[in-house]
Amino acid sequence: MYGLIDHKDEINRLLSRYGVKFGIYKDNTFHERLFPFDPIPRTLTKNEFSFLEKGLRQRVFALNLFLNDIYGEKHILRDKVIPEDFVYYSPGFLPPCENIVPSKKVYNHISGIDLVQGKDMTWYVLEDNLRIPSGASYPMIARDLCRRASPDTFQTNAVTDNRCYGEMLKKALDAVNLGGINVILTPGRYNSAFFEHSYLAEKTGAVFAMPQDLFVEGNVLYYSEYSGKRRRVGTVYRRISDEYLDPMTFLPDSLLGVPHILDAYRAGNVALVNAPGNGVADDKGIYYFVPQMIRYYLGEEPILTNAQTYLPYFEKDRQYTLENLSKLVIKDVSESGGYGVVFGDRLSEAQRNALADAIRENPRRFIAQEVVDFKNLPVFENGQMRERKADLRAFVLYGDEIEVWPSGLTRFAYEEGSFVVNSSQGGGFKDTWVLSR
Amino acid sequence: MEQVEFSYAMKIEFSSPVVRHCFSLRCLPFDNEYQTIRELFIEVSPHNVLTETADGFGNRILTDRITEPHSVFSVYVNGLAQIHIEDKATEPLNGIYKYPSQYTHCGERLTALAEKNRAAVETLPTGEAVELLMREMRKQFTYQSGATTVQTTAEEALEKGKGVCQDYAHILIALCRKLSIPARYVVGIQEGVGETHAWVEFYDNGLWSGIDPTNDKWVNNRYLTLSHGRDFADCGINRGLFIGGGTQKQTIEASVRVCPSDSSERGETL
Repeated sequence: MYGLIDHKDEINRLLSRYGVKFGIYKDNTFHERLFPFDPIPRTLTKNEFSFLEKGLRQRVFALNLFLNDIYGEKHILRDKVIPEDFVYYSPGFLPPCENIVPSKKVYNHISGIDLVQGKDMTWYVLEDNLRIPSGASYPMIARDLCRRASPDTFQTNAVTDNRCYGEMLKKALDAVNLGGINVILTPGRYNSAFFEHSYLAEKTGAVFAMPQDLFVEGNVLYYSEYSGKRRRVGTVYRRISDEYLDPMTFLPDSLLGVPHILDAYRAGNVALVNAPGNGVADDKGIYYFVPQMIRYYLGEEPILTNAQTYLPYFEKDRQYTLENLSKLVIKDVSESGGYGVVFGDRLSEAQRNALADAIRENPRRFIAQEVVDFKNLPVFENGQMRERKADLRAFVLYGDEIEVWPSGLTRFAYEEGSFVVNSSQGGGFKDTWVLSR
Repeated sequence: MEQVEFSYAMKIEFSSPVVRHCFSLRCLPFDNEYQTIRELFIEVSPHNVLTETADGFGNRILTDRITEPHSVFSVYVNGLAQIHIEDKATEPLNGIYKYPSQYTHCGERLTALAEKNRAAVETLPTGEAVELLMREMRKQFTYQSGATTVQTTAEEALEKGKGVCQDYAHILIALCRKLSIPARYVVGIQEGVGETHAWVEFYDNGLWSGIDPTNDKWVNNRYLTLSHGRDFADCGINRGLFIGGGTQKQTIEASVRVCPSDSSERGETL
C-alpha cells in the first residue's frame, strides 16, 4: 500500500482537475479549496469492519426509531428516558414535521457516523450526522484514481471494492421511492459539496436538479424537463438543508427551496432523503442519550461506545465539568462542522472563566467530553512520514435494510497533534480500505 | 352550544400581474374538540382547483399554484358551525406548547413581569392564574393599530406598550409558558368584529380553554377557530410566493353571526 506514495502528487493533480473541491464560507465569502489527499490508506481488517458494521447497524436502527417516535407518539419523553428539554429546545426539532409518516418509516436513509479509534484500539462514536452527511464521493473518486495510477497495489492487497456506493445509494433511493424518478437536488454551484452532488447523480443515475427545475401541483412533485415536459418525482435526495427546503413552511425568503414540497411529502407522494427534522437526533445534546435509546428501543446493550460525555444540565455532571474544565473538550450543541468545539487546556484563565460562566448560565447549551487520545495515522508530507490524528466517517444506508458501506472517509487533522479533523478546518483525507480477508 | 354562520373574504389586488403564484391558506375551519362544521363553501379565484392538506399542528390548509398571470387573487369561505366549548373532549398535550417559540421568547421585560407574578400564579388554579396574567399584562399594554408589525415579537411589543391582538396574544402566551402553563396561539373570527382575530388557549387537565386578552374576556361560543399553533408564524392565513406584482392592496372581511338553530325543525317534533 505504500506503493501509492509515489503517485501522491499525480493523484492530487487529477483530483483538482476533476474538480474535487471543498468549498467553505469564511467572513461571508465563498472560497474553494482542494481537499488534500494522502495516499496511505487507513486499513480495517475484515473482523474490525464486521464489528463496526454490527455496531453501526444497531445505532442507525435505534436512531430511526427515535425519529419515528419523536415526530409521533413521543414515548421516550413520556417514559422520561430523555428529558424533554433536549428535544423541545433543539434547533433541529421541527414541529411542522409532526405526524408525518415517511415512506417505509425511514428518516435517516444516509447516516454519516463519525468514529475515532483510541490508542487502546477501542472505537468511539464522536458524532452522528443524520441531516446531509457529505464526503462519500472523496474516497470513491480517490480509489478510482489510485487503481488507475497503481493497478498492482490492488492486485497484491485484498481490498474490498468500494465502488458499490452508487449502487447502494440507488438501492436505498429506489426502496423508498413513491412512484416516479429519483432526483438529486442541489442548491447550486456555491455549495461546499457541489462536486459531490453532481458526482452522486452520475453514479446513481438520478436526475440532477436545481430548485427551479421542480414544482408541486396537487401535492405531487414534478421535475420539468428542458422541453417543458413534466415527470413525476418519487424520491428526492436533497442536499438543501431543512430551513431552506420549503419557503411555504420554513424560511419564507428562501430562494433555494421548492414551495409545497413538504406538503407533497406529508401527503405520502414523495420521499425526502434524508427526512426533514432529523437534526433533533444528531444534536450534540441528544448524542449523550443514544446508548440509552438503544437500550430503550431495542432492549440491547450498545455495541459501539460513546466518548465519555457529561451533560452540565445534570447537577452532578455540571460540577464535574466545572471542576475539570482544563482537561475536557467543551462543545456547543448548536454548532456543527468543528465550530464551537473548545479544548479546555488551550484556554487562558480568563477564557476558561468566561466559559464556566456561560455553562452556569445556560448548562443545556453545552456538552463536555473527556479527550479521546486517538490513534495517529501515518501521512506522507514533504517527502517524509508524519503522524496525524484521524477520524472515520462511516456511511450507513437505510432503504429496505441497513447496509454499511465497506469503506468510509478518513479525515486527518491539518496540524500535528491537533484533534480537529473537519474538512472545513483545513485537514485532508485518506481512502479507507476494508480488507476482504 | 351555539350555531353560527361564518364567512371570510380576502382579496389582493396587484398593481401589475403576478405569475407562478404558490399559496397556502389557513382559513378553513375544521372539526375539533369544541366545534363542528356543518356546511362549508369555498371559492378561490382566478381558479378553484385546490389541494387540501394538513400541517404539523392539525390545521387544514388549501394549497395551489397559479401559473398564469393574474392581478386579483381572492378567497371566499362561508358556512355553518356548531360551537360547544362547554362540552369538550380531552386531548393529550404536545410538549411544543410548553416551550418558547420564535415570537414568544422572554427577554428582560417579559421575564420581570412573569417573575413578579410567579408566587401568585403558583397558588391559583390554572384558569385564574391565566386571568391574573391577562390583567397584569393589560396594565402595561394598550390597543393601538399600526404601532407594531407582523414581525414584532412579544418582548418588543411589551416594550412599546401598545399593539394589536397578535401582540396581546403573544405576550400572554410568553408569560404562561414562562410560568409552566402550556399555551397556544389561535387565529379565528369573533362575533361582530369584521376581521380576523387572534387569542390564546391554555392547557389544563387535558383541556384547552380560550381567553381573549385583547378584549379582556373568556372565549365563548361565538369565537370560530381557523387555526392554531405555537405563535403567529404557524398560523398565517395566507402565505404566498409569486413573481411580479408591484404594489398590492389587501382587503379582508370576516364575520361570525349567531343564526337560529335548526334543532326544532329536525328533532323536537318527533
